[in-house]
Amino acid sequence: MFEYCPAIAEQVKLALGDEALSISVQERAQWFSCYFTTKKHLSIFRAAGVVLLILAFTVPVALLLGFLGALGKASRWPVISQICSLYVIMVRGIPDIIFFLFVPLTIEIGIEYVMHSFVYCRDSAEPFFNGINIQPCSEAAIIPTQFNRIVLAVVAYGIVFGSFAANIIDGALKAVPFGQRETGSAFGLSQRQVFFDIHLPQMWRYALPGFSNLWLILIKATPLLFLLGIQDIIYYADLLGKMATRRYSTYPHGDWKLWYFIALGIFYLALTMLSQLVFTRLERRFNKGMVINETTSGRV
Amino acid sequence: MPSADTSAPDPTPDPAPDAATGPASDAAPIIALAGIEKSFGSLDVLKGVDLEARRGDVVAMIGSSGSGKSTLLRCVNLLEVPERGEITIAGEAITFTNKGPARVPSSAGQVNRIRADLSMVFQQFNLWAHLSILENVMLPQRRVLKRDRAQARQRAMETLDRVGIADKADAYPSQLSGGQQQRAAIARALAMDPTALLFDEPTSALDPELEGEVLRVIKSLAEENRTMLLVTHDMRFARDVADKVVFLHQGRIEEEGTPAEIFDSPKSERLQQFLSASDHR
Repeated sequence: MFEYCPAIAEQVKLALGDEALSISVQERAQWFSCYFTTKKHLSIFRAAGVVLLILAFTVPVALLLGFLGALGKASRWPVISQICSLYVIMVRGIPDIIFFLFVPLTIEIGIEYVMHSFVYCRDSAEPFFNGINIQPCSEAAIIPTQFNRIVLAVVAYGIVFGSFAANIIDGALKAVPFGQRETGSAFGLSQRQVFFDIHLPQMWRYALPGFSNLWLILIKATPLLFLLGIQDIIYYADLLGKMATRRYSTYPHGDWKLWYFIALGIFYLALTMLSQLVFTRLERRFNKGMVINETTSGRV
Repeated sequence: MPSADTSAPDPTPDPAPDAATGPASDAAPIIALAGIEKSFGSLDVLKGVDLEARRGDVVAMIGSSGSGKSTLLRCVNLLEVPERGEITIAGEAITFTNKGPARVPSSAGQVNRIRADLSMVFQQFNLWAHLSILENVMLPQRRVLKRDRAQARQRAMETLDRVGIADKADAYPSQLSGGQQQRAAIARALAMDPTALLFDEPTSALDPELEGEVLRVIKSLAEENRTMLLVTHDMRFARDVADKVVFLHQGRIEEEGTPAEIFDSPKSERLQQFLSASDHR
């Protein structure tokens, strides 16, 4: 990346072999600037970006599933309400790790099955389920690219955290005093208008503390990404922190795992603290005019 | 009164007696309830109530707690659906489907139209907590009457000025006293330019020193010849503003008449008891 890199790398490499030879602070800084920008090292920054990307895309998916789950639970039709209740109970009750192994796999197999049976290999004599083996034909097989894995990760996180979100939204919707909604109806607002103009805006205030917790749990669940075969920041921290010998590395160093893991801790801490800041602001915004333990609740 | 219990929902209202003269005719009641029955589970709250309010009438409903007066008021705008009986608003009969506890209005559109025409003021004010006072008064105008922002805002400021809290337009309900909140709720109701106003114990949640400001506003509305239905505990106030007083007892109208008839020469024993008990309030 920098022109001085080969020279400085060579110099420090030699210096490490000879303790007597000291190197200046400036040279040390130059060496680090080179070390941090090697192709190998850049991948940990990319991995951090992938974590943030997955977090960013999981939120809308989880919120969408949360709303569907919460509204579905309250549905008039028993079939829908039972499916949604089952979703919330099952996903909340099964350990995350099992779900992260299960959901992407089923989605993958499901897509492959559809592709195999209905799109690509309709004429193929090979059955999809061959005994206990699953054998999609070559066109239908999903290649585990990084993109596919990220999509699967977002879906898996979305389903798991959507069920928690559903519970939070369900509780928050019920927490809005009935009188607030009834008054909307009394003025001739339609059900839909009551929901979007009164119920939903007031719900956030009750949902926000729960969402704040859930978001932190989601951040802290990202290390599970390795289960999906995504080489995440922890994988790279472990890899880059290992001792690099002079023989094999342009940038040799000792066992730096401790420092890498401290850096990871700081990364997560910074992320969660920043989130807290944002949530505090959101709470202030949604609290506007709202009073806790409101006496004007009317009928519940 | 033609039966509204026809099996097929009829979108056109029954031809009311005033069809020729138009709904503005003084002869046609704005609100007409006939044979209203309502129960909650095994508790019969209303046992066949008839009630009429003509244009400009101020009808006060009195009675002890549990007499069914609030439920009756809530039947007028269908917040409660009576199991039996007919409701006719400005000549338009509300159509129902099903019978008994499952009875529901046939048309949500008709219900919303009628509700928009009958603004309600609640005991607990029920201002929308997440909106400013101005936004509270504007919201139903914008959504139901489809007024544009400028129109709704202008009408809101007029009505807020009318109840004397125009300076609080940008405050949130929680920042106002109970009396101010109830006046804002009245402004919100007025801004809909309704045919009739419904008041459900508008001062019962207020401290005695705040009652006065709300009562003055309601009284000034009564003097404007507005059609008003009023549930109240305040006998002096009922006497002061009402053209007609209805005394409910155990889900039936025990006695009704002018304030003078009801308060000065009550006929039934129940009303005499009720009045002597409430004198001490």
